[in-house]
Amino acid sequence: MGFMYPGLLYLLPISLLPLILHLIRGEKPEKVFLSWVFLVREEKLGRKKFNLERSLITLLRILFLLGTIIFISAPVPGKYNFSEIYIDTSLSLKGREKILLNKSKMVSRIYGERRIHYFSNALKREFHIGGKTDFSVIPSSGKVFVISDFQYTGFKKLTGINSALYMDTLLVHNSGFSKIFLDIFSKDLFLKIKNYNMLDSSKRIILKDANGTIYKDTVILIEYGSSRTFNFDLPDSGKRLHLFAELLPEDDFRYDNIIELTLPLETSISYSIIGKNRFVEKFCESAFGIKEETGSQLLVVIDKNVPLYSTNRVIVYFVKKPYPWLQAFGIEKMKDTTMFRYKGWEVRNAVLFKHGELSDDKGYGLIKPTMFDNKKIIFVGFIPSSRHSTLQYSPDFWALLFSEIMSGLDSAFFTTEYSSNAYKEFGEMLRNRGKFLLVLPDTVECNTKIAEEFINYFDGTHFVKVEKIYRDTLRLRRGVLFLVLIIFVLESFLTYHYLRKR
Amino acid sequence: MLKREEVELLDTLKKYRIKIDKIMEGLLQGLHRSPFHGFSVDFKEYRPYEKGDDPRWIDWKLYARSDRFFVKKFEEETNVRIFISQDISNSMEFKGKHEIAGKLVALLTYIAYFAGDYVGLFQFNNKERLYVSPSRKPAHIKRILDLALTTKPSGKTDFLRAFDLLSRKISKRSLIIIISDLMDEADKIINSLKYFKARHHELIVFHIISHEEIVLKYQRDIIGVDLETGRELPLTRESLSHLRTIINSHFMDIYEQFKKLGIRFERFFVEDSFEGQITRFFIRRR
Repeated sequence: MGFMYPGLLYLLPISLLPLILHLIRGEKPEKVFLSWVFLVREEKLGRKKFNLERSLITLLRILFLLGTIIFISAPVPGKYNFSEIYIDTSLSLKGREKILLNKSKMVSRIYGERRIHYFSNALKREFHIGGKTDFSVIPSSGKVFVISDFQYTGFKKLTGINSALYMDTLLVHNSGFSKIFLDIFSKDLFLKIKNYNMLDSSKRIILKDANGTIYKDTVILIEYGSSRTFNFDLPDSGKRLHLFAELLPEDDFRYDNIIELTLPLETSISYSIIGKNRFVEKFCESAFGIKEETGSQLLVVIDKNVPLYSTNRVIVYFVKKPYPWLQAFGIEKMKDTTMFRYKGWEVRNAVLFKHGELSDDKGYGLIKPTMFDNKKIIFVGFIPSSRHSTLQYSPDFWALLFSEIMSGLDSAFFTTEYSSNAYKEFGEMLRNRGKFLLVLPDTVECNTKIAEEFINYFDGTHFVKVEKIYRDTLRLRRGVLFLVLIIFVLESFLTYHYLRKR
Repeated sequence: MLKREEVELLDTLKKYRIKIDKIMEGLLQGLHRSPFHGFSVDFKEYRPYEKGDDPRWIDWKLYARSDRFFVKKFEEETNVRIFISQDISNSMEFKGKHEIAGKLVALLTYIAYFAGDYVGLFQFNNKERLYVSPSRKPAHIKRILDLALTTKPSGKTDFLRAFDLLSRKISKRSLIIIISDLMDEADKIINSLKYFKARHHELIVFHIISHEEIVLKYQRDIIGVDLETGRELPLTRESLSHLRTIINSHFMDIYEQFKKLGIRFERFFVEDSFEGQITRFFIRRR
């Protein structure tokens, strides 16, 4: 057990005061002058018994003082007894200030303000988003807790942290699909799976390569409510794989793969991991007739409720959890937006940009405006949300989207096939229409080193959410307080009873 | 009209909050005879009629001659020799038994005085034995009252030695009133009093006692310290019932012996109303 104010523990010897008084004062029977003692021949009548009540009162007083001192020292569960807490406030966390501040408040309630430090590439005195992540600023001593999105490589080597590094990845879990969620850190799959299905603890994960060959077929048992972490060492990170499981995609990191759902309507859900540029290259090649220049890091966000304008505008749509760097850009633009409807689609958190407005955001990897001059662009983000049906990630959805895009035009495209060929066809169709340019999810090569370090360095149990720490600590403190109150009431009652008898 | 000496006596009693008026009015109203009567019935003298005297004892012939009311005084009223023996041992200190005993001595003395009886006092413990011979002079009575009300308890109870001395002092048949808590061995008490019964003395024992002495309501373990000897006796609450048996059997043994010897005894509880108890005694005495 740790403490927020360990200095107060020096008061602990005070709790022995009742014992000392108990021993000093002892329990000498009162002398009472009597007139009839001469009648008694015996030297002693009755044997002195151990006074259980008095001893119990002393014990309760000791426990009361002990509990009070422990309570005011603000205990923290032993496994969360961190000496320092470091909160990442680098630029990649732009748009997540509120979440970070909430977490900061929670940890400050548990550990006090003095133990909390903000950092990016240097330690900061105040909470301020900006700068690159650099874990080397974290001192290597002590048991530290780091709240970060870990958009950084080689943190272990740089920081030299020997003790366990705890982190809260700020991931917001998806829900709505099924009973399990999935964390993905890299092409080297690092899956964290939680079972939300009370009735079924067996989960099957099937990994297939692009040809449909099963690479890995694993059945795992996960208790309801608990989670497990797995590492799948993929033979070729560039290959396209399909993962079949009752899984949900989790939030992505900046350099992570994009994962798309391909067969959501079945009992099992299938995901496709798309290799670098493979898909986009196909698409762009067909759409623009170019190959290499598609290396844009433009994120295309598509949602069922996307309003589609056939005007010379750009739509950026955010639902709940967009990519940080896109969100960082979009949040400011979305301040004034309210819900509106468009062609029967409900639109929330949407903002309309005129083409060219994104030009200032080169640093965050958005599209270079010159690349699509005189083009109408729809930016559609891949954003899971509990509110959305599984359709949004299915070929049906894509088809629906395209048909919507193409409405009013010659024809709509519809397919249930999910393949690069299908996208190629989409691109060709769009190019022929000359109306829109749809830039689909671009995947960049993930930094597998990060994943390796995570896997090698953590056994999975060191991932702990701030909310859990907060909840567990509050439970502990309330428990101590409750015990103290119970002891107080009991001690008062016994003391009253004891004094009354005297 | 009371004489000056009588007023002084009353003042003495009032000083110790003995409500003599109430007792006199309530109990002796109409009583002509001494409450301690039992011996001769010879006429002694007249005395002026006083409120409360029984009209039957008014001498109407004398009234015819003097036009004043006089009542007859008889020898039985005046010649009763009363020895009040007051236990002044340390055990009488328990719960104010000594004060009650003193009050009782004073009250009985006062009543006997007004009834025309001779009253003597005998205070005893194992060391000091103070003897005041019977008399009915107001100054003498005053001395008895002062002694009864001011003497402090000391020493141990010793009935045998005390009443051995008293026996030598008493020659005529007398009424011996013993005011004690009877905290002596039962055999000693009985043996000391047997002599007096054998000599046809009248004996009345006022047993001054506290409820606490027989109920023993102690909620915790105590060390009992004997008031007379200082002996310490550790007592646990579990032993109280055993103690009650010892104490009660002690008193019951004495009472039984008193009954056998024809000794009247009255239990006089410290905690109960003083006036109420003395009233009940005199009512039964009638």
